[in-house]
Amino acid sequence: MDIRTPELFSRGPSPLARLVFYCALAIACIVVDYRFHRLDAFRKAMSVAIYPFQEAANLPSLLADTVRRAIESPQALQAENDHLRQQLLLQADAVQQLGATRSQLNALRALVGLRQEQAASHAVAEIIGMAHTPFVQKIVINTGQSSGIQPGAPVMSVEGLVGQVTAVDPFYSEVTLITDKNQALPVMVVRNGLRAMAFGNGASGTFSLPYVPIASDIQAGDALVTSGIGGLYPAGISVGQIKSVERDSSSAFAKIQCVPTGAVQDHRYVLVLSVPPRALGGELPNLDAPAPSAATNPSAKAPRKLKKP
Amino acid sequence: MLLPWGGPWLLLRPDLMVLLLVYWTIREPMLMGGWVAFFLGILADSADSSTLGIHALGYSMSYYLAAHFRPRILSFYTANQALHVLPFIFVSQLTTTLVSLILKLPLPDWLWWLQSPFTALFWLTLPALLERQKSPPDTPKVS
Repeated sequence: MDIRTPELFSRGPSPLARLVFYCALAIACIVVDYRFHRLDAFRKAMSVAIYPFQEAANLPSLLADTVRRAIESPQALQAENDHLRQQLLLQADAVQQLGATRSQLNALRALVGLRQEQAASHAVAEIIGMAHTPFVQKIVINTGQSSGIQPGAPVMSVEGLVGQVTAVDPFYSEVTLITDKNQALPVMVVRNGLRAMAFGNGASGTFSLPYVPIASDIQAGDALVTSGIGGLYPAGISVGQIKSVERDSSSAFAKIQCVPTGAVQDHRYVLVLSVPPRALGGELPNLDAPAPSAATNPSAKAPRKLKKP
Repeated sequence: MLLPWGGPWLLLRPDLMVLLLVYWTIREPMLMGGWVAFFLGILADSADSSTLGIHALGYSMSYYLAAHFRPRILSFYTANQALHVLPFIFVSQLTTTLVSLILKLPLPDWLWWLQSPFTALFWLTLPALLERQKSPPDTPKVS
């Protein structure tokens, strides 16, 4: 190993002074970015600059994947193909009924003067990475501004809602999962229509409903879907299932823990829905504020609860 | 699979950036400087989309420690060096964790603390990967 000494007489400030300088600079960066969000343009420029390196770093796994697919046996592919065909057939029935139901619903809405439901457009995206730190629950997908992805767009997988696009770079976007600490979304219990706000728990990959009164009719095993309040998330997307309900008489609210249905670990592709035009009028999503759906709609805001009689 | 580090492995994912920073600081101190550590930290933050400056703070500290203890570390063999480098890596991890806690981010699972030992293990592979192998000395020609 090289044992040259740097310099016999080093010029300039002492190493400790330099350390203090860089630490102060880093702390200044943290404060400016966290409190004032003045570094977003810089961050965007950096993300473009490191894009080729990230692509290069992803190359080996991409290559391995391509090789694995190339040598996959035709029998296995045939079996998968058959399975998918059967699934398609099973779902075709439901989809055709859905079309009829939707047109009926829109006719009824027109009768009572409600706003028409608009079908969201989608874009398929591939998951290309996860955040390196465990403090944030984020994934990175391979479509960005160039593909028309908008910040705030809901993202779902086959099983259900995954999260929301929170940053859009020219070539890729960042999706904050519903389990992230700063993420909130309006949900509804399928069984009885009880509405609530769901907040991510952060590290443990679960989320909770902190503002449900203890007297509410809610129990473990209940399925949760998006309620559509706030106008950002379309109503009826599967969100998760209630894992446990703890009722403590010392608190006005029950402790409710839930697990999301749309786990991202097993999937490669996700669906990015478009942001409805009326949701664009509100604030763009901001990680420090709860979800925009909560910010734009006072009725969805915790702790005030909407409860069906 | 595109995501080889899933579930608990995600927490153990080694921070190779800080490892390489420490390695090159010890091996080529003329090339490295506090600004390199700071810049790498900023890059790590933008790649992670975490608050800018968190990693820069941790990496700056690791760099300072590595530069300060360089002569001492050079006097050890690779395995012993790994043990001495572990605290430097841990300081970076501890700093990022503390700042994240101050920013009210949740503390990850306890497995997270095994990240720095796991990263230090990779130190053992670095000489083989990054150092030019010494060629055997020329055998003296017998005339």
